[in-house]
Amino acid sequence: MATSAPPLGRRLDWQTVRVESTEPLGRRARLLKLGVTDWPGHLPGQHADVRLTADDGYEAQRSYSIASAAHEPGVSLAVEHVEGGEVSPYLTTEIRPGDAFELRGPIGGYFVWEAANGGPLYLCAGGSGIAPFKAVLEHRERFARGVPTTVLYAVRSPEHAMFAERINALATSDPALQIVWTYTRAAPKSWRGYARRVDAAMLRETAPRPDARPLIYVCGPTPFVELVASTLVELGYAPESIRTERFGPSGE
Amino acid sequence: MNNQNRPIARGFRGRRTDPANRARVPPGQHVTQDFPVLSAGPTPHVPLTEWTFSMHAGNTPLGKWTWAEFQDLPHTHITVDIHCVTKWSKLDTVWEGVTIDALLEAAGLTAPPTAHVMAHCDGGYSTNLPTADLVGGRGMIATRFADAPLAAAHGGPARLLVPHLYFWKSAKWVRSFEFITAERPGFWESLGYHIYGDPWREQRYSGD
Amino acid sequence: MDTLDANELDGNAAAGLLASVFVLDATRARIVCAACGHDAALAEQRAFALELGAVLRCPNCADITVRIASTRHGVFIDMRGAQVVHFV
Repeated sequence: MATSAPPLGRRLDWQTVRVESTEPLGRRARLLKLGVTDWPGHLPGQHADVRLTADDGYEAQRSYSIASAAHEPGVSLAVEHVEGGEVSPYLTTEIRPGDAFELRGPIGGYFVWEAANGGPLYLCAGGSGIAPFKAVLEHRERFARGVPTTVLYAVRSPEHAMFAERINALATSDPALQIVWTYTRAAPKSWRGYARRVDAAMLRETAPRPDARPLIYVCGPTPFVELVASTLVELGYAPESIRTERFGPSGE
Repeated sequence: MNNQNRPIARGFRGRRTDPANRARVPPGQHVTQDFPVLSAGPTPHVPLTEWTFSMHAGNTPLGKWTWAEFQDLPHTHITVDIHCVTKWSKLDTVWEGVTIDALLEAAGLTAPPTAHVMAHCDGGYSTNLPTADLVGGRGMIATRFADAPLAAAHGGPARLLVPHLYFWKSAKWVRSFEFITAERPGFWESLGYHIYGDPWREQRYSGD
Repeated sequence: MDTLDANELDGNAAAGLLASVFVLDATRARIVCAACGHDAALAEQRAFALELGAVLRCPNCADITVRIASTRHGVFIDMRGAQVVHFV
């Protein structure tokens, strides 16, 4: 398997990071820009663990995808606000620049795409599963423009979308990049595209043909990933060409 | 690995609520209104027509009940607090089932045949317990929770309930008791969790 | 086929815990299931009980391949369910 993952050379430990700034991502999520002092650099698609410790010692830990491009300095995490969640409401509404918490990363070399892996590329995101693909698309823009790429992005409604402007802007200037949206709960007025959950017909219509042997990445809540991956196998795509990353029902 | 030098996340509290009566909650625990699900594997779905519960010691069978036979055993209601090692506690949970005392009696035993038991479950899970912790009304095989059949995600059709120990000891989908003379670690106990697991002494991990 | 649990994830979710132990990236390691012989990346294993540690199960037969727990007294790893763990 081709990779340019640098050998870590050491075990990964927790480090204290500070929030440099935050910005809204759509109306439901927030991008946290973190100041890291000890960062070996990351690969497009990797994630990081966050550990919060309360003043009485109570702690909670979650994983978030790294949304920032690997070739740019700094680390940004995309956090979707999950109602009734424990960590994401804190990270999206309470945290302020200057606040500190612990980070362990970058982690995971499996769900990674780099220019050397080539294409065609088919990226399927459910909800905040778009975050690692934002890093992949920026890497592609910088190092592999022209690799035929389709993104199928399933979100509940336009206000649930993350990085919509950025992703659309990347596609506008690049005929080899196609973004296909499907709104599963509420579509914009006069929307003529998909407005339903991902199904076999949608995958058949949007994915490169199986004989083009696309590299497929699927990221989202576990039921979304299970459905997409198993349907793609039924449609004739090789299981080993499909890489998956699941996160919890809360996504937090 | 103490957490004294960790940065404090300003204003972070999590989902916790303060219990009205702090003395009722073991150290390090917080009260939740939810009933979190934490399983070591996929939820098994065994048809009730195929379900049995059995007890044995070595090669000696001590008792075996089908679901219908199990329903005919005397049932008991209890209201107890439960404490998960992941630090949530849930107060005043209402259960119905067959006490281990009643099971032993139905098997014609006046006392547990050995000092320890390994509970075995669908899905390969296991947990070890001293038999002394199961008798005297302290343990049951529960089949109902909150006046309804126990949901599969929470261990239905039947789970072990030993509420005075951390809740990983209250094994979901329990199917048999293996009575053993020498204590032996179960699923989590063999992976760094405490062999006994008393929440009031905060026995979370082996070595605590 | 068993049902999908709300809290089921995959081996990617254990990446941080594994990276605190192994110098090489464990999510790309190939695991050969001791029960059925199925060969899959660690990231492709089904993952359960992540709040207690991680119970990784073969994506083909659901038998346990790897169990990991991190306690305040160290990290415990049981790989009896894996015939081979091949770091790449």
